[in-house]
Amino acid sequence: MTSTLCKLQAPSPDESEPDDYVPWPELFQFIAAASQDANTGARELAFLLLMEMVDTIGTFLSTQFSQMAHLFNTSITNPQEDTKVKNAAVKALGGLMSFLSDDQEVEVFCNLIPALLQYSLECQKRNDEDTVGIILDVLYDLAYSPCPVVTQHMPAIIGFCLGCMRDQNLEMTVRDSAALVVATMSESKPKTFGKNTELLHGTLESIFNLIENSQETGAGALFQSNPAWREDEEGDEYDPEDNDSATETSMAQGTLDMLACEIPKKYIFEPVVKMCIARFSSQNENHRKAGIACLGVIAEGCAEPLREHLAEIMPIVLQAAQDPSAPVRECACFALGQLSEHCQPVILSYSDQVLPIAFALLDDKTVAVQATSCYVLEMFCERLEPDDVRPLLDPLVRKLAQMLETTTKRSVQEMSVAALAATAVAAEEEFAPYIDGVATLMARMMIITDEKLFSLRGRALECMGHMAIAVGKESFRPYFTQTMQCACEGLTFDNTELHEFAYAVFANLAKVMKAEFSPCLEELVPHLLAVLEEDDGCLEKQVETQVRLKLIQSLIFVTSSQIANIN
Amino acid sequence: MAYLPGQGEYGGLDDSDGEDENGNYVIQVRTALLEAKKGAITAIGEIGAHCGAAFVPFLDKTIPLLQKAASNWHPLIKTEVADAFPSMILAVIASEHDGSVEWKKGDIEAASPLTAPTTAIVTIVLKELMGLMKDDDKETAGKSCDAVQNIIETCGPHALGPVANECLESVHALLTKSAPCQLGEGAEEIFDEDDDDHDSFMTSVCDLVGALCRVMGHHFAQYLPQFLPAICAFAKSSRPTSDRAMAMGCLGEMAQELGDAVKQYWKDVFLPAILAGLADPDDNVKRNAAFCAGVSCEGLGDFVAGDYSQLLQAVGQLFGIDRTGSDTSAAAVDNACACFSRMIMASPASVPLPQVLPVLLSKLPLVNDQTENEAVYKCLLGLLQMNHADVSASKAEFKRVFTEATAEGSKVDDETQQKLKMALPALG
Repeated sequence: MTSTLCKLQAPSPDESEPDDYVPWPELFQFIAAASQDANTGARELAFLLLMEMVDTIGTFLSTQFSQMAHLFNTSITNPQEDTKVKNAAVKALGGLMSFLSDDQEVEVFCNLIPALLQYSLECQKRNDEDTVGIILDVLYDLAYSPCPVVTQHMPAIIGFCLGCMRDQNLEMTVRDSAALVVATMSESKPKTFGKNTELLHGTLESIFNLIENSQETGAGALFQSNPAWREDEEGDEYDPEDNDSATETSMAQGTLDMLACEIPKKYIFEPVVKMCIARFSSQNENHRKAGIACLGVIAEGCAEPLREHLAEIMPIVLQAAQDPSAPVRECACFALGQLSEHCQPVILSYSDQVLPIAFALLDDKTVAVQATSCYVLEMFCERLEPDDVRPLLDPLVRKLAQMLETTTKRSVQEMSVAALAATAVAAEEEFAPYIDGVATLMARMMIITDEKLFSLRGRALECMGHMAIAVGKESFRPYFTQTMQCACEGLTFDNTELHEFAYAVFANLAKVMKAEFSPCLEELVPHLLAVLEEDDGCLEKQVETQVRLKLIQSLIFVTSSQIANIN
Repeated sequence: MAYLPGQGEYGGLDDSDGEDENGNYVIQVRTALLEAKKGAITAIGEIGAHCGAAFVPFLDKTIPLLQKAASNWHPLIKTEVADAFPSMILAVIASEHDGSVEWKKGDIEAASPLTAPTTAIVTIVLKELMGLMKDDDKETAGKSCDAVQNIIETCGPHALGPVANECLESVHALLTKSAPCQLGEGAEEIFDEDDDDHDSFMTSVCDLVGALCRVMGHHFAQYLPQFLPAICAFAKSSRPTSDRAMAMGCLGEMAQELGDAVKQYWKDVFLPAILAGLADPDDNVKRNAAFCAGVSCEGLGDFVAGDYSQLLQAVGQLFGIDRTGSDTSAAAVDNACACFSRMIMASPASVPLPQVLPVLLSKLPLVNDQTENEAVYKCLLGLLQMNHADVSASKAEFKRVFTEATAEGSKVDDETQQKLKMALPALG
């Protein structure tokens, strides 16, 4: 064995060799022999060696791929084989598949996908999360492979992934990896996915089941987007360490969002909306929650067909906003916000129905509904004309200002400032009577120095900028200097979010104040240009050859010692 | 607010130093800084656009930095740079040309109205934008089209001249889905373009086609054989509604800007497209088809008189739309009114006024698309001026329309209102 290993140090084959040249024939003969060995350890080692040498094999040993595939197949499909050996075979096979995923040569290994999935199912059943996780990572790498065999096996791959997504015995991270494979498949092969009605319907059904069978909020996306708000939502149970983990609902909704964005609308729109509507007419509040939440989730991806069918969809959402169940109302609110964001400008013709409902929901008992209705108002008002907002302007400004003064919840504070800003934009000059009151409120927030509340400080600054746009130069002039001072002071803190808000307010104030803004340029422009010069990272190609060389050297060392252990 | 952070090609990147699964790339990202940088570019753009001459002293330092940012690896920055570029030109125009440039459609023989400093900046910026139009990110390509449109509409044909060929080639590539940002899309899938959804960035591409026609005028006509089929491909009934509306709108703009230069394509391209558009199930497509029909008749005059009865009948169908349904349905009816008005003015003898005029008047004043007021009132005032025999039969309706159009709260512009007020006494 030692002699075989020494031959590993044979010089690398060079490009001038004929195509049928087999470099290091002894290497593969040795591995093939080891994989048939009576000793379990030797068989495992054979595959571990392959795994360690994936890059080298993938690059130089293509002539032996079909023999290798045969070895993998024999091991994975052999019911008598030891699990350790099978797992090693899966890791080596997976490594090669990932390494070759962009290469046509991956085909010979992709033919093993059915066998691999069969084995994956066994791993899932015995809760071998490590192996399932490894396989899911490989399937993710294969999703973008140009190899037609992957497309051919896509239904089976997705079927397995849906099984993992549903499996409550698996860790959320593993289930989330499975969801990522489904989402990536929809991104890489949207037409094939969409055309396969059975596959698409099965996928959607699984997603809906996950949402309706879970007690989690269906409007969570809004809160998840801002970890600081989770405190409001989760109260004492909030665990800052845990704020990145997926939940069943976020996993399912994230996948649905991707499907809605990627799959051609002619295939996905109708089935999704039918499922939403069917759920919504259920007696079960959790089903209604799922139906209405999913309408919100698909709003971005299916914006175009939704705009065309708004007349049928809006009555459902408006009805849901008055549902007796708070989780349903919360999701309706979320859906209204999403539709307001993505179905412009068609949705504006519903302003006389949406505004009173969103306004009423500001009084809802649940913090989430309150904050979400501010989001609806923000999304909605941004595009409204003074005529549309006039009937509600006074009560709206008063209500939002009062909420802002009384609430202790950061989500409600931030969203009500945002909603005030949007209301100002909609009302234009008619906002002038309120500017003094609102500016006084903002003044307190624009000088916050508690780092945890910087986003509120930023929102306040943003609100000043929006009010400037709304009321114009003359009415805003009294607040110009103070706003500029607070924005510039924000730049002295080491907080990029605050800087971003400052730049946005500079942009708006320049637009409004025009020539009166010019005296600021001398100091401001050099600062802005300096930001442009800062390094924001880049994509660099590594020096591959050197890395490979090092790998081969270390491999020789590793394998020698492992073999020594076995013997 | 972006829904579900972590989705999309770049959405998942966080402040990180890392290496991908194959160890091929080292990715170092500072997302927060990217956002701040984007904000700084927005601010520079707005300052350039609104502080005018006061910003000019900073251009020397700003332009090279924007050029460098244009090659940033992240689309977030590239799109923002494309957005900011036209503002740099606005600053120069504020200081060199007092805020606006007078140019004439298609006139490249005359001396350039642009001063040397303006030409210098325009040249640099357009060259940079030509590169960004070929970017492999769609959003960036789309924003660059918007920027080019903005610049050539501000500066005219002399600005476009040096890059015209390159620009036309890029636009054509984008329309035929063969530009760098469209390659590799579903490469491993069977190509079936009927499955493609509407790509919102394509609207920017079509808008740029309209701007090119507006600026180049008759010089654009030689490219119609390549551009018309590419645009009409989006008008096919199998394409999504937004694509059909976009293509119809683009044909309308071309007809409006090119006038009789589209003559030889009327029978085989424009007329069939208009008739299909008018019969489309979607009101937006109908609206754009009506507009296209009106401006085509306006540009082609008697040449299309033979098609009037067919057109009048097809456009007439739009008057049956319930305009209380939505803004789009109201706009479709308004554009049908404008189309009738343009047809009457282009060839009064070809329109059976006793039938057409009452239908038209019954739908006036316009309720949604106020940009069409000019065409409508030009026609009505023209008929009055001609003292047309059929007017006297409809005098009461004329009076009602003029009274409503000049009433408190009317959205008709002041100048037109003045003319209508002057005409009112004669209506009895």
